[in-house]
Amino acid sequence: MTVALLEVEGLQKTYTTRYGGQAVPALTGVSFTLEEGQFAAVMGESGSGKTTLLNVVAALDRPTAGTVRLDGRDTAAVPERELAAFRRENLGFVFQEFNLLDTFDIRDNILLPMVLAGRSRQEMERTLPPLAKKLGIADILGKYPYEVSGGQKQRTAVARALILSPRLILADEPTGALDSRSSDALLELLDEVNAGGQTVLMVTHSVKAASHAGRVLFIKDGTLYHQLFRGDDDRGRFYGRISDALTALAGGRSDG
Amino acid sequence: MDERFYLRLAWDCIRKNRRLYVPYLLTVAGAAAGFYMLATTGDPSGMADPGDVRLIMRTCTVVLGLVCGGFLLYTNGFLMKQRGREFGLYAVLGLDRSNMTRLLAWETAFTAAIGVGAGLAAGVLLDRLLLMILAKLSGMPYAGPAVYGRCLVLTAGVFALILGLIFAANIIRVGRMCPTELLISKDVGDREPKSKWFVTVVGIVLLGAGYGIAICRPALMEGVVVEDILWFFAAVLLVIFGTFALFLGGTVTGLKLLRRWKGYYYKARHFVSVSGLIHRMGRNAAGLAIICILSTAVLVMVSSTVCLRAGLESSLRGYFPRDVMCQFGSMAENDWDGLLAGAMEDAVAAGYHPKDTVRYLYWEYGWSVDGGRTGTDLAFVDAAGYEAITGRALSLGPDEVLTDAAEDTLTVMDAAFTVAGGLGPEDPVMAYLGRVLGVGDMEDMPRTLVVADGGAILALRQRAEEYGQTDPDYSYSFGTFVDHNMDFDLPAGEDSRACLAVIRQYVLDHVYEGAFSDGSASIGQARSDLLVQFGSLLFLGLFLGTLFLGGAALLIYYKQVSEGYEDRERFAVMRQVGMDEGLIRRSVHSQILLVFFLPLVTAFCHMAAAFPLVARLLEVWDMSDRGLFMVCTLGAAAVFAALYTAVYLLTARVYARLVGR
Repeated sequence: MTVALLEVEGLQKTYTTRYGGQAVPALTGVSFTLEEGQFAAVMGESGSGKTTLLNVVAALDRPTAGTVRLDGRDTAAVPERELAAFRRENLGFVFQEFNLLDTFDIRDNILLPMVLAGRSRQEMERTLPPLAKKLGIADILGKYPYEVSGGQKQRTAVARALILSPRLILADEPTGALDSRSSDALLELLDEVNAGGQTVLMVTHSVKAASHAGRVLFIKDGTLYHQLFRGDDDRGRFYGRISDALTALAGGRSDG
Repeated sequence: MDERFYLRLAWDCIRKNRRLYVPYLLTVAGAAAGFYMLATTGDPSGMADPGDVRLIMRTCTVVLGLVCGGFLLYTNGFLMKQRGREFGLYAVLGLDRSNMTRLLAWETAFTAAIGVGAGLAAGVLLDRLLLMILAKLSGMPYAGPAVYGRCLVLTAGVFALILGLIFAANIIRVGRMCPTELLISKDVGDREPKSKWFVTVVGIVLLGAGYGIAICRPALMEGVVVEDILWFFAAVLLVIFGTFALFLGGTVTGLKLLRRWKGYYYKARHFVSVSGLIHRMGRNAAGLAIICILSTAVLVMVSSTVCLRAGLESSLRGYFPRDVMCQFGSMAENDWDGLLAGAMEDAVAAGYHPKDTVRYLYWEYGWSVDGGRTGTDLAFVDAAGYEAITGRALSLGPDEVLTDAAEDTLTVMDAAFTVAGGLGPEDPVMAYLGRVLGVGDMEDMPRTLVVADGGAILALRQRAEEYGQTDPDYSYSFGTFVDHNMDFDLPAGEDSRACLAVIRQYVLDHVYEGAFSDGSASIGQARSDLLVQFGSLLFLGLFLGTLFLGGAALLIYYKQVSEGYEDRERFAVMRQVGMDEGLIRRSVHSQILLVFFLPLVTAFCHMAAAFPLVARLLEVWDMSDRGLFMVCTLGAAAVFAALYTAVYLLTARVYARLVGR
């Protein structure tokens, strides 16, 4: 039996508005497990709670109720001062807006987690070149984020997410700010990364992006509404099934 | 489109950007108020004062006008940079250049109406208080109208000109950018600044030259002449440009060198700080250089003027061994003993209590022969005067003298004298005469002879006159009058000026030979003369110091706001990529701290380098007490550092609010 890397159980998250103190539920009870080496996509409309889910999984946000266990460890139990290190060692992030730092060149942006983790120069010099080569950004390492294209920025972000070989990669709309060619290239890259055994959890709007995953979770109004496994389908067929599911999801709402 | 539309739009723009506009309007108002008030201090219809003080005030008004212009131009540039995105949006929404010009015109009109209007109102309200402070500091009587019409017009004119220039600069700025550039113009500032070796080297050279002048020049100075003032200004300009160049080039270049040092750079703390600082310094260099220069100006002005004022009494005492120094000279043989005794009786009758009275004769005589090639300069004092000044008994025969000659005998104009004793430069008589004559260096004193009595002096003067008649080559340079001196102290509280007036009146009434000289002086008169000068300078130092400090504070505020806006985004990213909150805060705060305290530290360096030269220049006003100047300098530095820190802490709250979660 495969090991459950991520276990999410009865997850709830309620925000309180700053003015008026009104409680706004974002997640009302989400449970699922993600096994080592899986590539899962989370889909849902805007405001369905998918980014909240990602933030809670990333321990950027504390759940109101329920637990998130990464590798068997309850993330809510990680003390505040260890949280940053915990995140660094176990999680890699890829964001829609890349979130690269303008003050660093591409090389230093990728190395940032390593430097923060206090790794040695030798280790950095050993790890960076093969990774950069694999991601096709070896020749722009000396440039600054504002000097390279969106696709290259996102590859940089992926490199940064991978440099410490974390247990889980969390991607939040990674193709949201990319043109279709760059999107395709990035998704291929995620496929490759996943094929190498890396577990990936990706939040996306894009059916195409989701069709690269092995499993799609649909979230609606804060709950897990439906999920699909790719099984033996090719990408095209899976694309069709995801599309249908989304239509049903939207239809479900119009009914209600 | 309707003009009212632009009016409303302009007003909305100002309101929406109030975090930027309120300080800007306050600056315009503060500058206008300051300019108006300084103009009134030099206005002819204002306080009666000696011409040179008025000239200084007017010169400073002109300088302040220039500084205000430059400063407002800079702060406006900052404001426009922050609003780049907004203008880009207008351009995208279809406002063309002429629309934008009209919008800017209305904004300028609002700025002028609110800023200059409020400034003039505040100026008029505060002017009375300020002039009273000037009156208090300088001892000048307060006078003048409540509102100075001419100064109002001048201020309005100058600021209309400045705002007009700013308006023109803004049109050019907006016109040159295309809309998409405007939309992203906020990000342009994030480009990594380049290393500027050339600028760095130029900065080091300029600063070195400025420091070199300030440190080496004093040793070459004999007295203080106009040339030295020019050297001072040359040094000031060199240091200003050097500071700019070093801040613009040196900081970034230095930090980039640090970044190349891999073993240092790839450590968690240095990694974020160094790269952050490279960008911060690149963006802020000009503003920091201005803060530094304003700070230096405040420090030098305040320390030197406070020092002058604080040293007034002791430098006054240098000239006045006694409170009242009567000095009358005449050609004919008035009975000066009788006259002075009578004058003294009048003074006592008028309620004064003279004490420690010193009576002595002084005749300084210089002549030259061979058409001026050979000159001799001698001073004579009578033995009784010697006794009075030194308190030592002295009895000299008619052909005996005291002098510093090594020989036993001495011939003056064919009259032979026996040297009965020495008279070195350390002798109390020499010290006393040195103070009266205002001679700092005893080497510059004329050779002094103490002779038996007034008769001996008069006999020599008779001889000098005969020489002049017989020898065509022979010429007097001075020595027409023999001075009859009577110096005395008064108890505290008695007015030396009024007392001298009584004595003068008596002499005027009773002298029976008309031609006489009056070189008398009272410490009271000299004090009030000096107070007008030093008090006015102190006023200027404090007033301009306050204005410049306000300017520096405003720049610091603006910097905090812009840093806050940019760090807000950076903070969020750093948090997401796994930096812990503590590390982020520590490293960012240390960067901010360094950015803000670098100008202060540099200003202290400038001040230390300026110390020797400024100390020498203060000798123009007979202020030669280095210890006092040192105390004033350190005091000014301490107070300034405290105020600067307070400004920093207050504005840091704006920053904290912006970056806070």
